[in-house]
Amino acid sequence: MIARNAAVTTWTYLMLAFCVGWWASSPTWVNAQDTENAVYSASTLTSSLDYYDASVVSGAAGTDICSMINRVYTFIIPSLQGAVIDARGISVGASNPCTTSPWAGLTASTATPATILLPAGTIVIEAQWVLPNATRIIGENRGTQIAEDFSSLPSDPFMILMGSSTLCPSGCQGIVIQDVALLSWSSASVAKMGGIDNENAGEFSYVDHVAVNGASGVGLDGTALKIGTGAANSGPYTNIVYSPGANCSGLTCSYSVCAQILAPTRGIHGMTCTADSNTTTTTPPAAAIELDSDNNSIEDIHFEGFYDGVVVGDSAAAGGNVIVNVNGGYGGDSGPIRNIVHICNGSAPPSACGSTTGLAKDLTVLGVGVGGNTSPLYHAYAIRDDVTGTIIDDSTASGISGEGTVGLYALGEGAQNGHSRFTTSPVTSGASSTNPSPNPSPVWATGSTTPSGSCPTGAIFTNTGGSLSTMLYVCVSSAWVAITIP
Amino acid sequence: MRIAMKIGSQHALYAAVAIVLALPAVFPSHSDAQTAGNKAVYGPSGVTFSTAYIDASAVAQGSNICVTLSNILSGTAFNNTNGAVIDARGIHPGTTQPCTVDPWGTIPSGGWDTPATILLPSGTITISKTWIIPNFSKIIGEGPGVTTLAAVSNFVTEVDNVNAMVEMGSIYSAACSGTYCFCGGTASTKPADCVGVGVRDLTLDASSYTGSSKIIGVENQASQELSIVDHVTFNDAPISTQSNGMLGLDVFANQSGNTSFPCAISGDTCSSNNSGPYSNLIFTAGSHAGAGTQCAAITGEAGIRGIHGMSCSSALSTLPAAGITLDATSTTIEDVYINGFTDGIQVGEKGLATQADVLINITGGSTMTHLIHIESVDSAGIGSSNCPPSAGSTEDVCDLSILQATSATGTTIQDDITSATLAHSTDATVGMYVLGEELGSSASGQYSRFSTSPTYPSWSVGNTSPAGDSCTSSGSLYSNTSATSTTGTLFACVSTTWMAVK
Repeated sequence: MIARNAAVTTWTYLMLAFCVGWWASSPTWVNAQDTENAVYSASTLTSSLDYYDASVVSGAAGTDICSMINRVYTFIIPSLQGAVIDARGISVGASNPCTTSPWAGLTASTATPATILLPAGTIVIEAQWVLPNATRIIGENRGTQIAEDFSSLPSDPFMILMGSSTLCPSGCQGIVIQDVALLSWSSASVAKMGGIDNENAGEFSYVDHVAVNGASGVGLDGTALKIGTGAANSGPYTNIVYSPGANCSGLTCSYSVCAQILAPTRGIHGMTCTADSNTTTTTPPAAAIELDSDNNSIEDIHFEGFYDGVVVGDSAAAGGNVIVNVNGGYGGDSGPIRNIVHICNGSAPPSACGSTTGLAKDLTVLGVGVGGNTSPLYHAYAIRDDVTGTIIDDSTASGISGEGTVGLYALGEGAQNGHSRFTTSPVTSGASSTNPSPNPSPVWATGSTTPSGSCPTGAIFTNTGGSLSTMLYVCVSSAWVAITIP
Repeated sequence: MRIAMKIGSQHALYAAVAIVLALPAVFPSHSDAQTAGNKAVYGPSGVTFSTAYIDASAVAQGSNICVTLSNILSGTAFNNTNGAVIDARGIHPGTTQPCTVDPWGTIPSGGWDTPATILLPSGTITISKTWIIPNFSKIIGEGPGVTTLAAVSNFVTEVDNVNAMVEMGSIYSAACSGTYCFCGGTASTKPADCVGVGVRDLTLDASSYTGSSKIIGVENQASQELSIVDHVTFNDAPISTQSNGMLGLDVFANQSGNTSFPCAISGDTCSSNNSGPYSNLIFTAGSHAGAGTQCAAITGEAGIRGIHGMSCSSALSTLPAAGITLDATSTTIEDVYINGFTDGIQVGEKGLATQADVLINITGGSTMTHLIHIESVDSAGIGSSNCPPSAGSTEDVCDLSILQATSATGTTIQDDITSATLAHSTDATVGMYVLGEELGSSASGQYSRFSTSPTYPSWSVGNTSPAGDSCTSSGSLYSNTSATSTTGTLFACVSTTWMAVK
C-alpha cells in the first residue's frame, strides 16, 4: 500500500515537475508560430510578429537561404500581411547554393510585401531573382555578396529583376535593393550577364549602396543597371560601383555598360564605373552610362576604362537632362577614357554614338573634370558634342591631357542653321596633336581692359571699363575686333 | 521514517530528472551551439537561438561599453562569421556611460578583416580616444541628439595620431606586418583603400574637450567608394573658452605630390577619392568654442561625392574664418545653410587645384561677411587665375558653377579672381554665377564668366526697346524681341545707358 501510494506520488511529481519545467521555460510557445520573434511579456516569453527569423524555419524544401525564405513566404506569413524576414542567421556559402529563387512559385496575389534582411557572406544563386511588388532586400553592406553561377544566360540577362509584368500586372512600387554586392562566382562561365534590371518598378523603387563586380570571374560583365521604359519615376539610384570583369583586360568587353537609362527617373546620384580595359590594344566598353531618355539627373560620377563616360541620346531622344560633377581619367591599373560626356547626333553617329535614332537637346552639364595619366596616348576630352560639332579639349598648351575641366555647358535646341548653346569653356581653333581640327567654342568673356591674345572665333568680350568704341568685342578669326556702338 | 525519507529523496530525484528532461523540449536542437549574445526566436519546437545578430547586452560585460564591444570584435563568435551586426542598443540605453578604448583598438596581427555594423544605444558615450572604423564597417546610432559620442576633456588620439573623434579607416600599418591595419591591402601599394565605411544617425560632441589641438569630428583620408557620413550632428558648446575648436568633417582626397598633406608625413597618400556623399549634417559651435571652429574641409584633387545637406553655424563673437573650405576638384556642395563665419564657403584658399566644382542652393544667415568667397592665391595676385595651370605653378580656382546663392547680409558672392562683388544689398539672391577660365595670356584679366545678376555684365531679354533707359552694369547686353521695334534689337549698356548696337 505504502509502495503503491509512493509510486502514484512519484508519477504525480514527475508530471507536475515536467509541466512546471515546460511552463517556466516557455509558457506560451504552443501558441507561437515557427520563426516568430521571442520577446518577454511581463516575466514570460512570448512570440512577436514584428519579424520572422528565417534561420529556424522548418519544413523548407532545402537548407539554402532561398528555400528557407521561400518557406517563410509560403507557409508562415499570413497572406498579404507584410513582414520583415530576417535571414541574417542563415549560413551561406558555395556549399549551399540557391537553386531556386526565394520568390519561386509566388504570384501577384500571394507575394506579400516584405523586407528581407540578408546575411554577410556569399549567397551563390543559380537562378534569377525576380522581386515582387513592395519587396526590399537589404544586406550588411558589402559583406553581403550575391554571386551568380548560372548555367545559361537568362532571356533577360540579369541577376535580379525589379518586378515583372506577371508579379505586377499594374506596375510595381517600392522595390528596393540596398547594401549588397553582386558578383560572378569563381566558377561562373556565362558571359554578358547583367546586374539589375528594372523594367516594371516605378515610384519608391530604388537601388542604394550596391557594388557590381565581375572581377572574380567570367560573367558579370554585361549591363550593371538597366532602367527600362516601364520604370518611370523610379529611383534615385545612389552610391553604385561597377567593375565589369577581369576579361576586359585581355579580351573584348565592348558590351559592358555601367547604366542604361530608358525612362525619366529620380536619377543616378553617386556612381563609379571602372573597366579594366586598354583603348590602345583592345576594344574598350563603348559607354559607361547610356542616357536615352528625357528628364534625368546624373550627379557625382567617376569613370575609368570606358571609351565614353556619359553618352547622351544614342538610341533614343534625350532632352531635359542635367549632368552635374562627372569626371574621369586613366587610373593607372584601370583603363583610360576618351570622352567624359559624349552628346550624340542622330544624323552622323561616330564611335560610341552608334545609332542613328537618337537626338540630344536641352542638356545642362555642370562640372566636368578630366584627370589621370598625362601621356598623349590617353588623351581625353571633357565634352564631345556631335550635335554642334564641338570638342571641349581643355588640355594644357602642349596638347597633352592633364587636368581639363568645364564649368558650364548647356546645349539648347537647333534653330536657324545653328543651336542655342552656352558654355564657359573657351576652345580656340588652334589644332593640337590630339585634336587636329577642333571647332572653336565661343564664350562670353569680361574684363576691365581692352582684350588681347587669341580667342575662340565667335566669342564676345565685354570691357566693363570701355566706351562706345571699346565696350564690346567679337572674336573674328581668333582675334578680338571692336564693335563700335553707334 | 526511513521509508518516508527514502521516498522523499526519490521524489526529489524524480522531480529533478523531470525538469532536466523538460528543458531540452524547449531548447531542442541548438542548446549545444548557442552563444551568449544570440537572439531568441521561436523555432519548430519552441524557443531556440538565431545568429542574425550579436546582442552585446547579453554577453559578459566589460568595464564599459567599448571594452565590451572590443571583446566581441576580438572574440571567436564574431570572427567566425563573414561579418555581423552587433546590437549594443541594450547596453545602458539613455544613460551617460564611459568608453575608455577604441572598439577596434585591439588590432589583429594581420589587421581588421571581418566587417561589423555596430548599433549604438541612446544616451551619451564619453569617448577617451579616437574610434578608427575599419574596412566595410559602420557605426549607427539611434539618431542625432539621441545617440551622442562625446569627447572627454583629455581626449587622445589612436595609433595614427589623427586628432579625430571618428576616423573612416586609416593609413596606419606599423603593427600589421606589411598591410594596412584598418583597410587591408599591402601597405607598400599606396594608397590605403577602405570601402563601405559609414557613420550614421548620431551626434559627435566636443564641448568637454580642453586640449590645445583642433579636434576633428570625422576624418576621412583612407576610405573611398561607398563610404558615407549621414544624419550626423557635430556639436561644440564648451562652457569656457576652448583653445582651438572643432572641425566637423575633414576629408582628404588624393593630391599628387603634396607633401603638406597629413598622409605624406608617413610617406603615404590620402585617398578618400569618390567617397561620400556626406549628407544631412548639422554643425553647431557655441560662443566659447575655439577660434579654429569650422564645419567642414574638403581638400584634394581626386573628387568626392560632395556634401548634400548641411546646416553650419557658430555663435562666436569673433567670426571664425570659414564655415566650409573647398580646396578640391570635382566636388558638389548642395543644400547648405551657413551662419556665424567670415566666409561661408571659402573656395581655393590653399592654392591647390580647385576646379569643376558645383555649389547649389547655398544660403547664409544674418552674421556673415561673405557667403561664398572665391579666393585668388596665384602668385600673380588678385585679378589673375592660373587655370588650367602651367607646369609647376600654383593652381587656382576655375570652372566653378554656383546655382542659387542667398544671403541675409554682407556679400553673397565675393570673387577675388575677377574682382566681382555681389553684395546682399543688390544681389540677395543669385540664380547663376559661373566662373570659367582665363582667356589669352596669363594674368590678362579676361575671363569667361556668366551671371544672371545684373550687377555685372549679363544678358537680358524683353519685348520693348530700352534705348536711352538707364542700366546698372556697363557691358551688359539686351535683346529686344519685338518684331516691330524701330530703335534696335541688340543693345549694350554703356556706362549707365542702354545703347543700340544693331
